[in-house]
Amino acid sequence: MIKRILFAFIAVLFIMSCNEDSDNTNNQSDTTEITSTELPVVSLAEFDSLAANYVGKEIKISGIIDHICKHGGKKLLLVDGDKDIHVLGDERFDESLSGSKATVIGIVEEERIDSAYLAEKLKHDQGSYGGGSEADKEKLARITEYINMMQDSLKKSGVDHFSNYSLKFISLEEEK
Amino acid sequence: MKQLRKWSRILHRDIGFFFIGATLIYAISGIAVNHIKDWNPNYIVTIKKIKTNENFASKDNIKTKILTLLNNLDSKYEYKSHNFIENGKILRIYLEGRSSVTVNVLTGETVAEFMKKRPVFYEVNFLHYNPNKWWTWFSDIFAGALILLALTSLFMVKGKKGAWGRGGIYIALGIIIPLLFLIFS
Repeated sequence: MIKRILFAFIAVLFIMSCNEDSDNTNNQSDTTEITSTELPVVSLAEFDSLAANYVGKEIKISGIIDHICKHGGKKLLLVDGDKDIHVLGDERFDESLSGSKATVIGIVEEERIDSAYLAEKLKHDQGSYGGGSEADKEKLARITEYINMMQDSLKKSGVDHFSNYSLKFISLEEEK
Repeated sequence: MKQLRKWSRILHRDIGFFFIGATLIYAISGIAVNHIKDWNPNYIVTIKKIKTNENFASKDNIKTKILTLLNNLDSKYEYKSHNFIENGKILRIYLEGRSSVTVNVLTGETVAEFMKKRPVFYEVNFLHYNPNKWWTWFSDIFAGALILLALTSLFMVKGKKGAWGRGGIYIALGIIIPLLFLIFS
C-alpha cells in the first residue's frame, strides 16, 4: 500500500515537472516575441513641471534616499538638490537604504487640493482637535491658519486646485 | 466544570510557554515606545559639532573634502552620498547606518549625527512595527492567543481565590482602571 502511494506521489511529481517545463518553454517563446518598452525617465528637477503628464503611469526617477519614514517605514523621501518626492510602498522599506543613491520605478499619483478638500479637512480637524485641551487648541489654530493660507493662495493664483504628486512604489535599484 | 478547568490550565500553560518570546518582545518594545518623548528607542544618537575650514562652496574635489571632514569628525561610519540643499547653502552628507552630517557651507558650522542601533530595543521595535505580512500573521495569532490566555485564566482556579472570589475583584479593577482613563482623559 505504501509503495503504491509512493509510486503515485512520484508520478504526480513527474507529471507536474513536465508541465512546468512545457510552461517554461512556452513562456520563453512568449518572452522572445514581446518587445520591451522603455519607461520614461524623469529627473527630480523636472518632475514637478512634468508630473501632470504621467499621472497613473510608470516612470523611472533617480535620487538620494534622504530618509525612510519612522512610523511604519512604508514611505521614503527621494531627493536631488532642493527637489524631492515621496515614494509610498505597501511594505516596509529596508532602513539601510537611507542615504543611498537609487533609481525608483513607480506610478505617479496625484492628490488634488481644492477648496472643497480644504474645507473638508478643516471640518475633520475641528472634530479631531475639538477636545478643548490647550495642546488641541494650539494645534487647531495652526491648522486653521495653514488652511486659510492655502485657500487664499488658491484664490490669488486663479487656479481651482493645487496638486501634490507622489510615486507609488514598484521597484528600486540601489546604486552601489 | 472540572473538564473546563483542566483544559483551561493545559491551554494556558502550553500557549503561555509558546508565546513567552512574543510577550517579551511586545512588552519590552511597548515600554520603549511608550516613552518615545523621552528617548530614541531605536538608536543611540551622538551629536558632534565642529567648525570646518573645508571650502564646500566650491564643488571641486567635493568628495575628497567630505572624506577629510569625516576624518576630522572621527567618523566610524562610511560615506554614502551627499546633497546640497537650500540653494547650495547646506550640505547634507549621508553615511552608513542612517548617520549624517550637515554643513552650513557659508559658515562652516557642522553638525554630525551618529546613529548606533540600540541593542535589543532596535530588534524588538523592528518586530513590533510589523516588518512584513508573515509577521503580521504571527502577531495576529499571538493576539488571539492573548485573548485565549485571558479567557482561560477565568476558569483555572476555583473557590475563594477564583473568578467568583478574590480573583473577581482583580478582574473588576483591571477593567475599571482603563475605563476611568477613558472617561476622564
